[in-house]
Amino acid sequence: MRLGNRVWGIILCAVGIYYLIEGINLPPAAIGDPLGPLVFPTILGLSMIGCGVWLAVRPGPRTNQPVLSRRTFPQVLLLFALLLLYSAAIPWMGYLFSTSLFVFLTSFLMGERSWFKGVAISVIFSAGIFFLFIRVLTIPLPLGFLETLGWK
Amino acid sequence: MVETFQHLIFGFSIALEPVNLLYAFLGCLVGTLIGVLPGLGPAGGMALLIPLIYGKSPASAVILLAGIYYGAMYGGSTTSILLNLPGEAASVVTTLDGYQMAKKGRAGPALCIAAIGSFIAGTISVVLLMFIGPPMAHFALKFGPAESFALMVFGLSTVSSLAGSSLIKGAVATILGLMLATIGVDLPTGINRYIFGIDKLMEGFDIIVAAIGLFAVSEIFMALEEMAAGTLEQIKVSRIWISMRDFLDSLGAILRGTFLGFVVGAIPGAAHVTASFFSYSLEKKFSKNPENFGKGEIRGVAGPESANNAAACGALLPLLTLGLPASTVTAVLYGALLMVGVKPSPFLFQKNPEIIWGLVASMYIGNIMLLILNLPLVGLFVRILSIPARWLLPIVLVVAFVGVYSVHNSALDLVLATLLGMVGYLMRKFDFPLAPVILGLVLGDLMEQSIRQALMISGGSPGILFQSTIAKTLFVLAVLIVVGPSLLQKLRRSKS
Repeated sequence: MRLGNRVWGIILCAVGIYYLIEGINLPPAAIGDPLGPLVFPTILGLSMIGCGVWLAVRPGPRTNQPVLSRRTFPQVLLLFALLLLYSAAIPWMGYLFSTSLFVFLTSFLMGERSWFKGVAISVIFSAGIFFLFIRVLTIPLPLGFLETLGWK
Repeated sequence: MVETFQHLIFGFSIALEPVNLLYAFLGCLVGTLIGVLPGLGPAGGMALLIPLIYGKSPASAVILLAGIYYGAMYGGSTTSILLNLPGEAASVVTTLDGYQMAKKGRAGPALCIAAIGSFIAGTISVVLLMFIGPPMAHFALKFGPAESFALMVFGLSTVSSLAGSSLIKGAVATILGLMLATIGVDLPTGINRYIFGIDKLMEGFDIIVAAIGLFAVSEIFMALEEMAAGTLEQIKVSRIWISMRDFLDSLGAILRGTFLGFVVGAIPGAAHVTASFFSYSLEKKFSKNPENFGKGEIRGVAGPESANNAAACGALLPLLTLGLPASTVTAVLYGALLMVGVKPSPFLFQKNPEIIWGLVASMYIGNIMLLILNLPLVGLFVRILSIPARWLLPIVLVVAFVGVYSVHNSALDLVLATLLGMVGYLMRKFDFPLAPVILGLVLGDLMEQSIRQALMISGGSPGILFQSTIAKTLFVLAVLIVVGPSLLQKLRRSKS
């Protein structure tokens, strides 16, 4: 996939315009200075549009190298999806399970081939983190259905 | 001056009592543990452990806190260097060259110089605090809203002009960071801005979430890509200790970073993160080979790390001379001092000199303790890198996510960090620099506050921003830094 600076200029312009409109449409402040919350966003929105126009008009030298490769980008997207699923799974499945599963799947995505090692390392590691942070540093991590049975 | 010196000796005599040395050791140990976990950061870690100081003498309390503080800062640098995992905004700068050094097998020297640089910066800062402390505090007071705004504009301009290959892309990254800072509830008016109907966003966009997303997560995307293409190389550790040449190379950067950091740290309202960014820009600007920066230049680690440490000491100035906590860390210290029965005020220097110098001495002891504790650990830390990437990378992601989660206890932050990871990946791919986003996000709130305060004072006329000499100088410098290099080039071309 090739995306030149010209295209980025247009995208950034759009971001700036959207940001500006969203800012102007804010409800007026009931207290304090009514225009206060608008000053800074307006400056930012206008500057972003300015930068976008600049990039679109003067994109600089073109590179012919494709930036995102067809072979490797799907893998990146796969990890991206895994991370999103992991984020959603933590409060739902509990930290210990979701983390073991995530470490296991990711290590396979990254080239681990031994099932035994995969399961062992991901479970031991997740349990270690879990104990360290919950017990020693008392950081609240979400507990799933099974962990809440065991101890509290 | 003789009196000051006697007070300092007295301060040290307290800090060197065996009990207090034990506290310093414990503080450094716990602090390092906290620092290795991204998300909590020095101020958060200190606040969390404040109950521990209850009922202790002021000196012991401060020594424990100082230990935690230094430990957390150093722990943060460790993960930044080894894993590209910045634990707080200031360590973002350390990742730029520190992680590149680690990739080239020079993690050991990077970790050593971070510790040594911090130590030297701490030592010099104590001396600076003694000699130029009081007059500096008065200079810092001249910084009203307009001057603070000018300083931040200057800070952003140095970073955006130096970070990337293209000036305009640096500017885009800066504005993006400032835009992220406007997300959330606007405190003076209570209006929600840019929250897109998601209530959790009212709290705003946390710096840790952005730093971990943009730097750590995107780095792992990059690594996965290299892995898939078969170009990822296992890091080979070539040497653990720093060589004399490395040290001499970085000595200048350490000294410059120290002075810069001390001054910036003493200015209330200019987040002391700015100090590390300033130092990095300065080193790159005046280096003979600026192209080495971002590729594992040891000065790019030494300067910012020293600046960060000196800024922490400089930030004590407003607290000690004026009774004003000017940064989050000093705010926690302020609270801790109140708890043990000391009220920071402008009269502290006259009324309780032993507290001030005890504090300075204990900060210093914390510094030494950290050096003793951590230099032997460098070898152990470096060994982390020999874990195969297919295990190391998932583990880094998981640890990073614990840090992100601990910020607000919300899974939404995890999603945001993932999204920013993708944004960071695309920005790297299309050659947008990442560091300005973080500085923009850190300074956004402060900048907006200062510009609004200034406009409120002047009744809405923007002229106030350009009235004082300090502000004018800073604006001129900001413009020069942005357009200067290209102007020079044009001049040279027209001559030849």
